[in-house]
Amino acid sequence: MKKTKNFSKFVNQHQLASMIVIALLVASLMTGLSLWLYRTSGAFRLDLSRPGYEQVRGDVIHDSKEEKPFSSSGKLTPEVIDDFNARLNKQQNDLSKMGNFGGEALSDSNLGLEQPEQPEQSE
Amino acid sequence: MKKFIIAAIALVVSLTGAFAVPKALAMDYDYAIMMANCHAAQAVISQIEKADAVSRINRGRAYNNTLDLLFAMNARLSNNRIAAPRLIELTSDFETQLAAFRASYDRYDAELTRVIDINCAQKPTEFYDRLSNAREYRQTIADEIKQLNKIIDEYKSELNKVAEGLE
Repeated sequence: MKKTKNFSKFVNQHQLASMIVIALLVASLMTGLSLWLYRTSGAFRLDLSRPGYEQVRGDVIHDSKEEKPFSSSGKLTPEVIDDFNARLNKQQNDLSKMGNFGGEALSDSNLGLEQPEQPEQSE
Repeated sequence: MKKFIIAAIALVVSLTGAFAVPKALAMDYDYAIMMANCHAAQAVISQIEKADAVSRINRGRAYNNTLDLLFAMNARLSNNRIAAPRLIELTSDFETQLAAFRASYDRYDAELTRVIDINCAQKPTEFYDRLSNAREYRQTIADEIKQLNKIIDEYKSELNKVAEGLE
C-alpha cells in the first residue's frame, strides 16, 4: 500500500517522464503483438518486401484491373458458358506457366551433393 | 562347447559391425562430400526458397481467382434454378485442396528455412534429414497442384454437360 502511494507520488512529480515511459511501453507491446501475429499467421512467408527478395519481386504477376468479374447473376446462356470457359482456360494457362514445385530443384545433383562416379577398377 | 564359443565370437564380431566397414566408409565419404559442399547447397536452396515464394504467391492468387469464378458460376446456376450438385461438390473439393496447398507450403517453407539456417558442416546428418523432409513436403505440394488442376478439368467437363441441356 505504501509502495503504491510512493509510486503515485513519483508519477505525479514526474508526469512528462512517466507519460513517455508509458507511451514507449504501449508502443513496444503493440509492436511485439504485431510481430507475433506476422510470424504466427505465416504472412511473413509471402512477404517479398523482406531483405534479400528484391530480385524476385518483379516476378509477381498482378491481376488485370481491366477485366470485369464474372457476374453471379443474370440469365445463363451458351454465350455466358463460353465466356466462363474462356476465363477458366485463361486461369489454367496462367497456372501452367508458374513454378510447379517439381522435385528436380532440390535433388542432390542440383545442390551439388551427389557423390561423383567412381572410376571403374580394372581387374 | 567349441561350437558355442565360435558362434558367440561370430555374433560379437557381427554386432560390433566388423562386417559393416565398407558401408561405414561409404557413409563417411558421403558426409565428407556433404560437409564440403553444403554451404554452396544452402546458397542454392536459399535461391530456390525465394523463387518458390513467388510461385506460391502467383499460384495462390490464380487459385483464388479460379475459386471466385467457380462460386460465381454456382450462384448463377442456382439463380437460374439449375441443379448442379456435382459442381458444388467439386467447388468444395477445390476449396479444401486449396487450403491444404497453403498449409503444405507453410510446412515446406518452414523446413526449408531450417535447412538453410542449420550449421551443416557440424551437423551433416541433421542437414540431410531436414533436406529429405523438405523434398517430401515439396512433393506433397506438387501432388496437390496436380489435384487442383484435375478438379478444374473435371468442373469444366461437368459444366459442359450442364450446358448441353441449355441448348
